[in-house]
Amino acid sequence: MVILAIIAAAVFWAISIYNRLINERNRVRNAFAQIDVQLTRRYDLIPNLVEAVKGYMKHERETLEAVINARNAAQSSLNAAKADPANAAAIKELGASEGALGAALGRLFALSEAYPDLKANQNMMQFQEELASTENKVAFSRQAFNDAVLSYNNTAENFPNSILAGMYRFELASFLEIESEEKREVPDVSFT
Amino acid sequence: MNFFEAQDHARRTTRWLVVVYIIATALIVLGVTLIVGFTLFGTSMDGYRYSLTGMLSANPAPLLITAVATTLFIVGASIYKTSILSAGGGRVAQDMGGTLVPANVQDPLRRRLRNVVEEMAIASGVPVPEIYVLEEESGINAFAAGYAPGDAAIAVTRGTLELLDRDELQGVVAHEFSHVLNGDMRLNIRLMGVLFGILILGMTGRLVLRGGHHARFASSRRGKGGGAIVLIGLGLAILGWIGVFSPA
Repeated sequence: MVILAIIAAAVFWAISIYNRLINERNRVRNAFAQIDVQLTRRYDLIPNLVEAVKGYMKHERETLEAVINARNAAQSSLNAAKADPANAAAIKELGASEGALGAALGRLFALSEAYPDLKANQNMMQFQEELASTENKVAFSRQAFNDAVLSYNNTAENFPNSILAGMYRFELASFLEIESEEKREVPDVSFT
Repeated sequence: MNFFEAQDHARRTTRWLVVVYIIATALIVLGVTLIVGFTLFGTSMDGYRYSLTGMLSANPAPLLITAVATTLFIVGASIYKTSILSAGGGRVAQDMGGTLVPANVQDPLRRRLRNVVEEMAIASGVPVPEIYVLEEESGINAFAAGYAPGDAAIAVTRGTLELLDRDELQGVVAHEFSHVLNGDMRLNIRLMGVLFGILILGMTGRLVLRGGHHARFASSRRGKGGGAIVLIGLGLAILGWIGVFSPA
């Protein structure tokens, strides 16, 4: 009788842990969907930006092409990651291409400083605003995604959940880290 | 400065201040009970004045009735005011003179404001509130209104829109979002409701004061009764005045 009770308890425990892992993994996927929305918007803005800029920066073809190529690479990484956001490798790949795109865009904007007509152009200013906003939105959705990843990884790695996770192939998700040069210089702020 | 420590400290202080507010309101009810119940009804059948303890033991009914009536009065007035204020953040913003910023706005400054608000909505996990601009205000100011995150609205002045750069605007909007997220508006609406009740009490006192004043001139024979009315009116008015200042 006692043995039956113990087995029943173990089964209940296993079911609740399994469901929890499913819930957390779905939350990771949902959080990723939010990033997907923002990133897609970013990728859609960029070709329009390049078109607007082309007329002014006729001799900067290489920079413009670099931006388009980086954008296309990032878009395919996004499509790969969309298929399974809990897949660590796809997310890492996305982080890398996003970093490259950020660098290419940075070079483009730095170059545009040398073209005062372009800087004053209404269209250009609108693009800069929309891009800045989209990047902020990506950053915030990324924070929410990384929070979901942390929660999922904690649930999957804690013992004894890890036994069940291993049995049912719940793999650890990866944080979406986007390398940017500005991030390395952190200003020293004190509120005293 | 430890950010989370500061947050906890602020929350604890808020809870403590709400307790003090409730105590102050209770004291006001007590004050009214003493003034009205005791002054007006503190004379026994055979015309002799009770002491307070005497009245409590011999004839507590008027005191109790006054206390309950005052509490119901304040509660009723505050429910009324609360329901008006809960009409939605958008209404409050419009009443303050705000113009709605629609989702597809093209004007660059308002577009920037819209974008900043949407960014903060993602960052805080709160749905995007209605956005209003107070066109008549050239100073830098902003507020959040509404009962819950679902019907929230934030408003900024035209000065804020024009004078702040993107980062500063983000800071202001984030601050207003924190009010939405932490339920500050709901707390404020409730506090304002109770304050309204106390204010009405004070206004009633002032009215009685004016009424008693006229009655005294009108008929000097009613002098004694008239004097009591004046005292009650004065007492209520003073209580109302204290009630308005103690929360501040």
